[in-house]
Amino acid sequence: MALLPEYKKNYGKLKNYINGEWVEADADKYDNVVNPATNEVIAQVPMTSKKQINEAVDAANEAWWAWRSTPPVTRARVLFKMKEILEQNYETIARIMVQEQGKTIDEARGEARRTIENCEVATGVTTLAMGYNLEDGAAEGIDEDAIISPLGAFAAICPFNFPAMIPFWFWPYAVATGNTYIVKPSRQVPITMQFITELIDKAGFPPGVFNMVNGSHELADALMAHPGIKGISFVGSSPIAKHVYELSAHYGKRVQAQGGAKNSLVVMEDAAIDKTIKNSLASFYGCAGQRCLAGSNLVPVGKKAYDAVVPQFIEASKKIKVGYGLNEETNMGPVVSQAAKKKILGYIQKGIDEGAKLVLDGRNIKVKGYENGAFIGPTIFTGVTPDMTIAKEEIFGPVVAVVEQNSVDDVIEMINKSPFGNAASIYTQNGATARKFRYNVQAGNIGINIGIVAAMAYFPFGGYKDSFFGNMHGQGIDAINFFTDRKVVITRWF
Amino acid sequence: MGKCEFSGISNFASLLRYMTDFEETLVEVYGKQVSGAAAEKFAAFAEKHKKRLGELELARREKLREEILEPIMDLDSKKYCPKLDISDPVKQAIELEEKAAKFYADMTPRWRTIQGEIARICERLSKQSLEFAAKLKA
Repeated sequence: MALLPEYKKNYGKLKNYINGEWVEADADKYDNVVNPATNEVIAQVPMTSKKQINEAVDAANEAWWAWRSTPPVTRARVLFKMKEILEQNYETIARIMVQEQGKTIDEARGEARRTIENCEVATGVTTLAMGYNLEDGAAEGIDEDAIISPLGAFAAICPFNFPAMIPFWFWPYAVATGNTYIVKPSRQVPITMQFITELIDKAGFPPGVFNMVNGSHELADALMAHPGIKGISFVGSSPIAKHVYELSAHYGKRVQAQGGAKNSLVVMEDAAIDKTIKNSLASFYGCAGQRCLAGSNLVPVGKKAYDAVVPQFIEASKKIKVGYGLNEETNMGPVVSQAAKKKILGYIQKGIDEGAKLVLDGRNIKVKGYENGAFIGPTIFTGVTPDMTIAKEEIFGPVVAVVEQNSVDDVIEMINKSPFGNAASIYTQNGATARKFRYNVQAGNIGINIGIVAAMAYFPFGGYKDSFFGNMHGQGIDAINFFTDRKVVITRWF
Repeated sequence: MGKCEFSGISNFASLLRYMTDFEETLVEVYGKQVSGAAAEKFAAFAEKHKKRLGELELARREKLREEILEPIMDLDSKKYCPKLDISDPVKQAIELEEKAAKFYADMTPRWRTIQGEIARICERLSKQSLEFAAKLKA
């Protein structure tokens, strides 16, 4: 099968988008953006100075008052236009994501769809951000109203694994509710947002309502410390999420900081095995394991479940087609970079050193035509105990740790002991077992016979424990709440 | 054998691609010059297949969800591959319609478990292709 064409071979030096204009970055340094499948440089991303971030924050604040005074229905209209433009460019967005991030075209199209869905949900601002009131609510003749109000300029610091969707967990809701916004894409995958920002530019937002600035963690810290920013949305690893939470809170900001994960997929002996295997493969190897919702531990409960699922899972894993994501037959692409690959290989070595049995080794995979790519094949360890590093830490790669347990109570205990609480899934046909699992497991996303528990745009995307710092999540009504405050008005007319 | 010589179907994208390749090839064949009674049928069927192609492309855009991105490991696509070297356009079209009908019919139960709406599309396209083949034979 022929490869789908790349949108461009090279995207050149990327720019920043401030106050409705594309501007050359004020930067001393540019990083290379690399296609992880080919290891070729496809763009240069600027490490923007703190001075220029001030310009973006000023623009966002200057635009705020006029934008917050724009009727919500008019704001929604711009988002409708935005949705239309995104639909027209759906395939291009997907292909750029494959090129810079490494995911497969199927995964990228799925991400593009979720990106658009967030835009669609945010268009519902006229009802989502409606306040409430109570006549005679305070006393006879004295009414009480709660008005949902925007707050000002917000910013998002985005990760590498979902270059399009994750900014859209936040910014459409922020601007729909009358705030203004700055997005800082990941320096590893900035091209997608560069392209999407070109589309945003066409949608009709007034200058300064949406801004996009490229840069490093220093720029992110500057946003967190900036007095002109009301709140920060972040997605990344847990240690960084904690840093973002602490630093932003120190500067009096609202924060929603999504961290890492160590997700268990539990298989009971009464599970529908064929379907379980197919579904769990997508969870473990989708996006090359670089999802915060990816399965990481495969947990068969009891010998019968182990015998039913593990040998078949290993055989099916061997058939996963690894390659460049623009080949539509590819099941799994590369990891995001050579550095990520090195880190994952380190975890595999650690698994061996700690005594786990490496039953499928993806370390030396060769992909014809892409010999320099950051590929790791499906990798499986059996004989993993809960105290081993590969069972506890976030690997963020296509590495499966098979951790046997004896009962669902043991499983719940193991999951709840983890500092992470992003997702957990159980495969069973028994309703009582499923209910016990969903009731007791301390995680933000629970799957019952589903391995990728990705909340839709109209549900909050959250996590428990070290997987999320904050109290209001991205997407849906949680996002509306994060970007607004309640102003209570008590009225008496003499 | 041209376009349909796929190396395999291994996921949602390649399965949908197989379908759209059938439709694109049929649009191409129906665009060829034929004489007599077939000419009118070719013009009408070309339009139908353009519409079908649009419907499948829309399905790919709208129905794709992360939850159903499961690898497909048990489908031998080669058995549906049509011969594409038939010189008579009418016979070529019949070959394609019949292979497409078989493919869509076989895919209907597979889709039913993961995407009911695409299953319904497959069911309809299969019947329609059989109908077109019968009309071309008449």
